[in-house]
Amino acid sequence: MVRSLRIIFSLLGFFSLSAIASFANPLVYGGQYYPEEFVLKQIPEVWTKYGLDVEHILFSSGADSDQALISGQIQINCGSDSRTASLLSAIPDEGIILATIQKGDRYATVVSPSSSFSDWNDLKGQMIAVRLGTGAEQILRRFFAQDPNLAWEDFKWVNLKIEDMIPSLQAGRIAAFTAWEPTCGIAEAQGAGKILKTYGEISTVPVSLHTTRAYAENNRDIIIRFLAAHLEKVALIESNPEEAAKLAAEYSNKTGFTVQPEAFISIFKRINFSLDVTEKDLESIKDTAKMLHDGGQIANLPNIVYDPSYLEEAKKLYEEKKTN
Amino acid sequence: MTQDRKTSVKPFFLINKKIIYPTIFIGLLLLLWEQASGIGLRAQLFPAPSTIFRQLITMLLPKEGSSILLCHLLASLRRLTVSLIIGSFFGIIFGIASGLRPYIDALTKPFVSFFLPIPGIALAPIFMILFGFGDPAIITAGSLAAFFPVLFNTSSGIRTVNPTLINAARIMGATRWQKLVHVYLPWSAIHIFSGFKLGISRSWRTVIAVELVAAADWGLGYMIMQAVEYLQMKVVYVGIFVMALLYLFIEKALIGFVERRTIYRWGYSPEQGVRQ
Amino acid sequence: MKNQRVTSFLVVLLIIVLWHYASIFKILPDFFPSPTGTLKVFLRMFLDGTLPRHLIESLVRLLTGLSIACVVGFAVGGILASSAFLSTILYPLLGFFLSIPTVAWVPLLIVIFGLGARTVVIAVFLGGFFEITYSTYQGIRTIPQSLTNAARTMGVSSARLFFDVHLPGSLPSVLPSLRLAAGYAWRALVGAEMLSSMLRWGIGKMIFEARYWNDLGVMFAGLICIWSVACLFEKAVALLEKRTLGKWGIAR
Repeated sequence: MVRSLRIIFSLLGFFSLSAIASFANPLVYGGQYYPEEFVLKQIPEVWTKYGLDVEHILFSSGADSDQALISGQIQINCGSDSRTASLLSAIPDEGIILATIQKGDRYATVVSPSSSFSDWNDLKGQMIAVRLGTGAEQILRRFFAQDPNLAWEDFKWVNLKIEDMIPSLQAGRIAAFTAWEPTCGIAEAQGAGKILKTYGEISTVPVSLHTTRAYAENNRDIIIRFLAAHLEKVALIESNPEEAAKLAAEYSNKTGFTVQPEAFISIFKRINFSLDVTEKDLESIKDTAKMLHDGGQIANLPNIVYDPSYLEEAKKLYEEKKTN
Repeated sequence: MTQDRKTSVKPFFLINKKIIYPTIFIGLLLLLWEQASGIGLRAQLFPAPSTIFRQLITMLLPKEGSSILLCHLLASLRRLTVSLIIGSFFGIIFGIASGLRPYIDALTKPFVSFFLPIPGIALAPIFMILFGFGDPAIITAGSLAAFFPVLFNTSSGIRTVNPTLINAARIMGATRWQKLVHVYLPWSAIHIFSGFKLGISRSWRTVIAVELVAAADWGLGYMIMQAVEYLQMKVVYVGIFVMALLYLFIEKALIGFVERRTIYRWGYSPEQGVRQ
Repeated sequence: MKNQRVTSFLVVLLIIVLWHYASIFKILPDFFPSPTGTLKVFLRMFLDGTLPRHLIESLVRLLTGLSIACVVGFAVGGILASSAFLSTILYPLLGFFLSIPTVAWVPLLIVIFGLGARTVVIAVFLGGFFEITYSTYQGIRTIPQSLTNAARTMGVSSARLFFDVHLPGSLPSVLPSLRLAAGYAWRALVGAEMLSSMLRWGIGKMIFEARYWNDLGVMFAGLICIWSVACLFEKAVALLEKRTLGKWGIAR
């Protein structure tokens, strides 16, 4: 009896000892559930091409990835203009933008395929889901600001998480949701929704890559190579969107889900995945920051810091590799 | 005799060693924490106790007519109360039925064994789809959480009533209803009560857990998740602190109070309660 | 006993049949999976290796966290029981922490320890730790003083006292609470996995992702997995109880 107890204890001790922390990777990149990120996950050879050892993690929440960046768990992350503003406000003088990974027509409002809504006026008084505090909310506010017939108060809002949008629409609990891709594309491909409106003309709403100044200054070379790898991804998407869609669908299949490439094809054709940060992009982020600050969601107005030197050198590196 | 009775039911706020020492210890811990935090980048993530306390007061005080903290708190409490009412009600009914009739017990067992092991938070997505996000999903999960302990304990309480008493009642010509009210219920009251206590604990945990996932407007769980979204860690700490305080209050003060007025008064001694 | 088993089985069968017809006759919404649909998803995920991977990762995290919780819980419980001073100052803290729903810890843990598997293990640890500490403490306290005295007169050292007297003696109180602790730990696991956005594998994560990809079949498969594992755990603890307490004849 006592012997068996001792055995049990040693087993328990063994299990405990085996819980030693893993070794840190040179570069941990926190991505998000974006279509181009899925593609990147499927082409890890771009990291090795540039001699990088990257642990690419996909976050389901931008806020969590900001937290991870601040606490040092990850070194580079990405996020929409709202995230950029929140992050730079949270770590003033520390956060910098490296590049964009997505911009353009990335938000859409989706309604049920059997419904008869044809524009926002039809939706008045209905229950609409949007994730407050994200770029989706900002784009809608901008949209309403330029349409005299529509006001935020005309609708019943509910703050759902992105993953609850499609199920709630399907179950009939909401009349519409506004979200970023690929959720809208997935809804359409599954027949669970149809796109009512996209917002490409309102704002460029860029999704940017962020890092801390401390990391950037000490790892300049790594960042340049990292950005060059991203350039490879952009080249693939722009030259062959069908292949990109296939890769994106394959990624989700890997964890056991059945997603068809059709969900991604229109996304890859519609959205701009260029890494260049334009003046318009920076203006857009500043505008979002102001909106968030006025709304009380961020404490102080951040300094939007973009260092173009990294991307410039990354482009040079990419061109060099191409010709070799 | 009365002397013993008094000491076994000690009021909570008695000045003695058991209160002073822990308070000093906790005070020291808080001081240490206060000193250690507020340094560097991680100050964001590890606010000092004073910051947290100030945040607590800020959220407690009414702004534009209502206190944010109280709104969230009351929303969670509301869901808890409704869950408890529904859960205990059905728990007692099914418990009595299972206790009295073994075949009902056999029928309910598979339902119980299916739902019992599944954490409420895992059922949350399904409930959100079936019943809608927010209150419907949360209250369903909370009611289920309260239902099972009450069911178990009521049923076992009914079954352990002394048969002699039942026979005595029968011989005296009691009807089924009279037997239920005058024999079964009083003697299983203490079991039902322990089941209820367990039910509160389970239900509270489930309501908070499901709120983290399924709530879209108010609730302590929702407050915490939103705070995480905006990187407002002090609100997270406030939330956890309030949660624990609330539960302690409910368990120790409220239930203890009811217990003392009812069960102790009727002469039953405190039990450990039926553990599952 | 056998009759009960048969009835239970028949009831489950009845539910499945009702479910099947409900989905055929469109009583349930048509995105709701049918029993055959769920079975197909289950088999597909099992065969292509994704389901076993999710399960194994979750179980490893669970066992790791629980083991540490057991070891540390026993140790702390034992220390608390042996020192009146320590128990006076720490007992209220223990009570306070016990009343915090385990899942509520997760957002805080995520902040402190990050969003990976490490946090999940720590959440599992916390889920089990407080409960085990509490019941070890109570269990040791209820060991009849005569046993401890007898052991001391036989000249045992403190360590042997702990392992050979206190630990087995506290088991009648600890083992039932182990069930409770395992339950809390399991809940902590699923909750933490659902909220840790940095994970890729795990049952909780799988269910969470099923929401994102709107794949209800996978969600159901996940629920069935959770249920099976929880049942197995219950049986395992019950077996442990039988083998130890039952054999030693200590009444519960």
